[in-house]
Amino acid sequence: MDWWLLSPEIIVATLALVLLILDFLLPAGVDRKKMGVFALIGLLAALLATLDIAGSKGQLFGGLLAVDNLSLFFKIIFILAAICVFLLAHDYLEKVPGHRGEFYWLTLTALLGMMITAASSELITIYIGIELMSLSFYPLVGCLKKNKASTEAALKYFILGSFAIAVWLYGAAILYGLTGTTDLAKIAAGLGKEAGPLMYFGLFLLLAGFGFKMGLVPFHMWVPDTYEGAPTPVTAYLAVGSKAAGFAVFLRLMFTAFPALYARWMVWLGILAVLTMTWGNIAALRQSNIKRLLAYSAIAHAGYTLIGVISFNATGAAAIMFYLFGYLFANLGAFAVVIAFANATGSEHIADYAGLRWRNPFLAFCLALCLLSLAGIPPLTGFFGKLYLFLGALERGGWLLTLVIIAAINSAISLFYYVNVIRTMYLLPPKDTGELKSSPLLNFTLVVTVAGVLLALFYFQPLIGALQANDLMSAAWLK
Amino acid sequence: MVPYAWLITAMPFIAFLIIIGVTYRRPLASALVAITCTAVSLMVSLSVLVAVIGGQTAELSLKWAEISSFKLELGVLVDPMSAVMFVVVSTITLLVQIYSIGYMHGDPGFSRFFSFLSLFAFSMLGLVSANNFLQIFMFWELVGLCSYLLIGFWYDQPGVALPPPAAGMRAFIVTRIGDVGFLIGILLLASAIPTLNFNEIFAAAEAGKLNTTLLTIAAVLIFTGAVGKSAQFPLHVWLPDAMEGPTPVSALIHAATMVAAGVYLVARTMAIFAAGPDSLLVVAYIGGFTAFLAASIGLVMTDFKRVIAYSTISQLGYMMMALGVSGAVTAGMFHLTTHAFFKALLFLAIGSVIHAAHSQEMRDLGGLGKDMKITSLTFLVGSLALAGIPPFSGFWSKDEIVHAAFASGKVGLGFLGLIVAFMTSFYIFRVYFATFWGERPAHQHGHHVHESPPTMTVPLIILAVLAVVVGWVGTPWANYFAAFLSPGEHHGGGVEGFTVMLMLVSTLIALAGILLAWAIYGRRHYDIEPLAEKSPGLYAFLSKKWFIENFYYGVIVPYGAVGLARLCAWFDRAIIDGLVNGIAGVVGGIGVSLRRFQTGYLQFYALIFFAVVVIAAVYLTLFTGLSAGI
Repeated sequence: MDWWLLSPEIIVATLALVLLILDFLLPAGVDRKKMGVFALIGLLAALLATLDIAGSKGQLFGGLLAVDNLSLFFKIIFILAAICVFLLAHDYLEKVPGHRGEFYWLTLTALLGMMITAASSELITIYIGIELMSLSFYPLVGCLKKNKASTEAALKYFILGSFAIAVWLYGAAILYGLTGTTDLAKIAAGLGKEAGPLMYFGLFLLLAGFGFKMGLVPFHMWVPDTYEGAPTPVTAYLAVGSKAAGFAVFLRLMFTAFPALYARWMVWLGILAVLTMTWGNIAALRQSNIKRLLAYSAIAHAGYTLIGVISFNATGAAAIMFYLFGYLFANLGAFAVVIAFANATGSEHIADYAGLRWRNPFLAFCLALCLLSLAGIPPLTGFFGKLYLFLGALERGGWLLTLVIIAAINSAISLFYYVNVIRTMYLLPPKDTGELKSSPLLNFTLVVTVAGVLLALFYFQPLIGALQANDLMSAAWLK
Repeated sequence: MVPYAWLITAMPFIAFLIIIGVTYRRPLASALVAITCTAVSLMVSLSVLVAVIGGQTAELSLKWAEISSFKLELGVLVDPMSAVMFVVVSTITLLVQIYSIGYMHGDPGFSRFFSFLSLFAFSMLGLVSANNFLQIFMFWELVGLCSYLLIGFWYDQPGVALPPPAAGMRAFIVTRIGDVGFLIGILLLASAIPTLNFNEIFAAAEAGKLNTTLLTIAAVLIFTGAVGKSAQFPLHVWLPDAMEGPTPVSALIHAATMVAAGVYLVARTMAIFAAGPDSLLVVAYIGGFTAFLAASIGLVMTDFKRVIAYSTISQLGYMMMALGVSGAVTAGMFHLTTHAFFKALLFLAIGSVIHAAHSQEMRDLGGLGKDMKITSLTFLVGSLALAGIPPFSGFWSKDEIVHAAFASGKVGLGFLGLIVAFMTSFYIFRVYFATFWGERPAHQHGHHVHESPPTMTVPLIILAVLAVVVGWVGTPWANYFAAFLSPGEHHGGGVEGFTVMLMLVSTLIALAGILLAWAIYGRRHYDIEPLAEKSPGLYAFLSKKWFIENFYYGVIVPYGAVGLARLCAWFDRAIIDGLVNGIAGVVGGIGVSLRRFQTGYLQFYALIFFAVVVIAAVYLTLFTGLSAGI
């Protein structure tokens, strides 16, 4: 076994443990800020290690973890998300009373969970990854201990999350009972063509469990409440990290274990995709809280992303990765502005964003750009992500064309609530005309994310070239 | 020069970068940079046009990315149609930029203005040069963005009818409705043939390889994009509001170039429309109706800038009608070209009036001809061209459209074209007489007006010359323009008696309109529109713009869009909460206390989750066939 392939995980795990111990050893009064700097350096090392092994292929622990382009790409997404979350949290945490050492190491264990989830090619390992991630997220969501909304959100997320994972486990047990294996590739082999109702039921339970993580309607109900109540950096982390992890493992599961049942699950997912994007967009129309708006927008985006799975081809898989990559930057950028605004004013109401262009043109511009990318306006990355997903679906053909048309109409609907925020910032007179300061660190994060939003313009072919060379996708059955 | 055609698009972008990066704090330098770069674009455009007339065409393309079998390209398609558009766009951009030096003099946003103008020129030329659907859609959105930025340019001013940023937002949203159709049309085509390249799609459509029904639907969807951009009924409402932008912007974007992009799009994709002929009927009738609708509103507007805006909508309707009835590009593209020059001229001239008199309202204007000779004369030239008096350019192109309508057998549209021609000459000369003839209104006597500076009048003179001569390349006797644009087709041959008769009739109709306008407005000044006293009902109907905007903003938006959102809110409150409370009641009855959370209902969420799983289990058991075993 090539331990070097495991180096990103080893770095993150070590980092998490060191910070955990540090947090216990340091006296209560000592400032924990340095831990963030330490974590950032460690994460950069993990990112470099991941980039170093990019393109390699291998299996770890006798096939429990797969190292391939799929998992490596998602690891890069997760690490980037974690880095941004640390940058976002730096000022935010100063306002939080009480300890905040746990924030740093919980973020890292969640990251480790995501990395394992994305790489695992076996049901038990998937379970371990997801639980590591989820159990880290529950306290993170509730880390504003004095805040009622935060603790409620955490409790709700915990109870519903446990429920979802129980359902998932039941499905996994059924699959194991039917095929006698937990290895995804062997499940595909053991499945044959004679799938019965129980097999489909097991598959549906898995889907429900993952649907919870990805925020698909009707398993989405925790999303708005949890997103709203959680500390905003954690919300951002949930919206990009947790969701991307769900999609990574879902993609691998459906493509590796269940190609034989494609005709059936494509219909289920098609219905879920339409429900998810439409419900998310319509519900977003009447939100007055920016975090709830972004929560419903996140639901809608899960609907679009699902199209890539339904396409069930190399283009669709690559499109999901590209889409989530663009989504990462646009979403983190939007949350960065939300944090900067809340740091200065304490408000999360869209109405309070009135006249932001006069109070802080930079913040207003960045938020506008990120929202337009989320809405899919060319030539921003979000547009190319959608186009990529759509082209994958058109390659598959058939009724997927209808799905694409519904998605196109949906993205037009979404424009209304995104533009409404922009309208508020640019057209309405500010209630409070004072200049609104944002910290240099947040500004730096914003520059990074806006660069990502403009990425497709300049760096499109190399990026998708890397995606299309994906080993997972070259499997014979896809052709 | 053809291999360097990409320079035409690149130069304005370079200007944009230089202005925002280097010269932003030096207004005059910014203007010089913009003008120099546009001049280079114009030079290259002209030499490309000469080369294309000489028989050269080319498709330069840069592969940007490849997604499965789809090649995403950035390309420059050099053919007669794009060569003409390059020259039109860069000429008018150049003249408008020169004019703006005077018009925008002293404005705090001077450099910003020129940077936006350059960005717009880049986007518009990128749109024109596109060789594939992705590129045209991208630049299509970019010109929309520039339009939004420039309409809202004076963001801190109250505006004439509504605040400029609100007008910009309206324009952006309304045109986006059409763009959704456009995007779906592109995707529909992409689902039938795995390419986005124009020539490949057109070749397949012409060879009959694609399903006719699909092509018809795709064509109509593409047309909805054009309806939004070119302000055709029912999406025409944004263009008059766009007049809140500075007048040079109205001339460049909302008269000569961007709004014509819809016409260009239909012309460019004519192969698809021709392969699904029913779509051409839609184009013809929407165009014809829009021409009539907008002209009728133009008759009564007292804001003279808006009269010209409605005139633009009406003329764009003519162009669409031309494309629709003939199924060929020449008549529509010819009118696009002549209209670009004389309409830019009219806008810049009315801008000169606004600059001097500080008003665009009928009651404040009158008797300006004595003090503003150049403006008055050039406006007269533009009006004669618009009214369709020979030998001014508008006459030749408008006549070709009416002729095409009769020739295609759509006699109704032909007569409609003649009626609109009468209305056109009436409303534009109403503006002319009420602005330049007669006496200054009494309340304006203290305000002395004088002619605009040479930076403004020189572009007017150049445009006036162009507005006369451009039409001469497409007379029925020697239609060089048609022969250039579609060389394969048979053009005219001899001039038949019908053609000559039609030319006579339409000239007489235009003269009648001018005469009527003179009889009413040429001899005295009105503070309010005389029609308002004579026929209040008709006047109200027209001045309220057929009540279309009342219907949109008074019915559709509050009861449709807001109503839908309210319905969702009601659904959440009444149904979901009702369910939850009901369940709480039942469960409470059996002794389990349900805790209600501050936001959301935990038990209800879990219940939904569980219900879905149970429904799936039942469904799977019943419908996947128990016979299959486990």
